[in-house]
Amino acid sequence: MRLTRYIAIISMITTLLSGCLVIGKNKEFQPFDSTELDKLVPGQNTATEVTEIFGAPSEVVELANGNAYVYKRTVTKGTVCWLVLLTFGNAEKQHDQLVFFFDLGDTLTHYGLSLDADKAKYGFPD
Amino acid sequence: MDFRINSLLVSIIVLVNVLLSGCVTYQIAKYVEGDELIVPKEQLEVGKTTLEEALTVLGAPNKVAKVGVENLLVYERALLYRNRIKVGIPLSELIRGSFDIAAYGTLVRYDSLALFFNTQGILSHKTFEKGSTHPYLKTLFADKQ
Repeated sequence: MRLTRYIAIISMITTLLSGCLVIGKNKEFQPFDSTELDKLVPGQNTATEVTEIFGAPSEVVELANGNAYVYKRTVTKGTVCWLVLLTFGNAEKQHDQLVFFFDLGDTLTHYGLSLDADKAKYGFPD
Repeated sequence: MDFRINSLLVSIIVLVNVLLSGCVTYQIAKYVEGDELIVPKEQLEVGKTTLEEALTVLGAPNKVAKVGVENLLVYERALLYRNRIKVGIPLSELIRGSFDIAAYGTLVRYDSLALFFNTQGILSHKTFEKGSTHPYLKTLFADKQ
């Protein structure tokens, strides 16, 4: 009788916990190399020189006193787990971004860099 | 007593059958875009902080825009939470049709920092909203939009 109960409980637990786990990764790739920033000096380089080094920007934004060139790439990591009664879904999207600011004469004035794409991770919703 | 036990057993069997047939499902989903936004308030002083200093401290912004005669830099993190419950009882063998009901709640919260710079590259004003501190259920069901 006791054994039957154990078997029934174990069967129920294994049934409830049986499921499927899927992980996936999406990448929006832009081949810029942030180490190339060492070649640039604000006040000296032009927009043409920047695009020669980093290629075509993802986006160009007109500003009040010039333009901004945006380089962006993203990594998304997703996890989905199906159980009998429960489904968990988790996705995390992180960016690597490089933004160059140019004055009206197309001379580089500033730039900003964020490298967060490697921080995207698989996991469960918390 | 026997009748009670039998009723209980039948109820349990029915419930287990319904649950195990995949008719009741509960989904929990989370989506995050962007890294955690840490705002060093002492390093962002209106009328003092330059664009260069802001870029050094915060890195590249998520959005850049022209607003009037100023430039706007936006740093943002989005957090989406969704809970969904679905109950469906297939009755096609008994009647033509089935019972199916679902409910879900989705909440997207933003941590957002907006920095306005004048054409001299000096921070003219800033605003920060940490939406992620608002609790899921309370925010989702609040009357206030």
